Amino acid sequence: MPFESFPFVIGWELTLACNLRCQHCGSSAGQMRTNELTTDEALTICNQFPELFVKEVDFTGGEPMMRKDWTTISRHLTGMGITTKVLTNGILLKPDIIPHMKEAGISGVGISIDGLEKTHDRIRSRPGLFKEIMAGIALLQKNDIPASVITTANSLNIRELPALMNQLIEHGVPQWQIQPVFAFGRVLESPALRFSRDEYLMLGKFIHDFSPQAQSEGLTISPADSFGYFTGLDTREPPWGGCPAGWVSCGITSDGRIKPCLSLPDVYTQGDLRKRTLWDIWFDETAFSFTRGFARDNLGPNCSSCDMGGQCKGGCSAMSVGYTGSFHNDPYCFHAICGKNQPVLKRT
Amino acid sequence: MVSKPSIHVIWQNTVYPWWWKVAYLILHENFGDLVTNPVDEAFGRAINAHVNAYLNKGTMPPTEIAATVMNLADDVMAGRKMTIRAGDYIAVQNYMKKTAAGK
Repeated sequence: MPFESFPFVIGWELTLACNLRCQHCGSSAGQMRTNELTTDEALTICNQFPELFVKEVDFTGGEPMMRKDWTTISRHLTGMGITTKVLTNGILLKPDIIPHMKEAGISGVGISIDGLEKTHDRIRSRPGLFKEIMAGIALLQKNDIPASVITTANSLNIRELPALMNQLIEHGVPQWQIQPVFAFGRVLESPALRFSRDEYLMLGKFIHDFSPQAQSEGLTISPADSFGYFTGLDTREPPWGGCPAGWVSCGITSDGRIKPCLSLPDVYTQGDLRKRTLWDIWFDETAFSFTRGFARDNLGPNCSSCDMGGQCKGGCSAMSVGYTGSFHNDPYCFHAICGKNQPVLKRT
Repeated sequence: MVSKPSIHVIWQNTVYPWWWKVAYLILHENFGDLVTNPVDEAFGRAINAHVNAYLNKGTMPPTEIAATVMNLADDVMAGRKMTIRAGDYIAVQNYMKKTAAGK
């Protein structure tokens, strides 16, 4: 059957330049890429989105707001009815940025907070950043710009999540996305950040046990990326159905290449927007084959004997590749850790 | 003359709503299993021309999009709202791109 889906959500690495050097950065961001897109090239790419029914573009990086024309790109997209959001480390959230955010028409800002003050500032290698970010969140709230918090959970901050939750509630943060750390980029130089299996299980239990309390106090906790699968700890409905990269989403690098997911290394590039259109790359019969062409035989040793393997397809692609070097072999899995003692949810 | 059609692309069970929550770093709105999207003006004009030519002049559409055009013509004749499935939308876009490139 021919492929018939569209990239509804695109993650766009506007620049790889960053004003931080975070220990857990999977992109090893810092310096911009050597040949990043010009404004005209970026706008030309934007013009290709409507025919592919792109609904939302999430600007990431590096630090996306370091790119001087980010508001121009955002405004161009919102003018075509496409939602834009910005994922930021928070340093630039000062009063002078607010008019630009309003002008850009963004629908929300995701701000990274990776633990309590001491841990966050240590991971981000910038003393005082935590306080700056909290002030930035207050600034966004004051100006009616929706702000959510994103935490990359790791071995250093996993035990701080309950206390961090309370702080976010106190600051009136409505949404908190939590995702486990990947083994790419600088994480390879900081093995202490990586989860043990027990710590990964702690993450599942925290989200499961604390979400109702958080919800009752106005904070929605949302697990993302590699979180699951098929146990009572992961009760999202409908349950996981395989990596969405290349099915309903993709990533654009700052030099115009298409990746299934920005978390994956550049070696998984599927095409170059300087040479081909997004339409041609997206519908190329050979593109995104690791997800689109999945067969149960592709499951790696971590997943091959799993009763849910056919539906799960081996979990998160980035987690699987980062920790095992191959797709469909995600080692972080509640179902595997817990065995069959947890109730298995089946797709209905 | 057939009135200008109101064309919508409809996906049937091809969109999995949970993906919107895990695909990237910010929460996304849920989508239902059936998603309707407006198509762009150029696409609508092209389809309109072929459907009109088929219904009013008996002109057979190009092979690549014949099934799509005739299905839409059936919708018109039956008084139904014209709908086009995702696969047919892709086929028509590919045809338009090919003809625009002079291939």
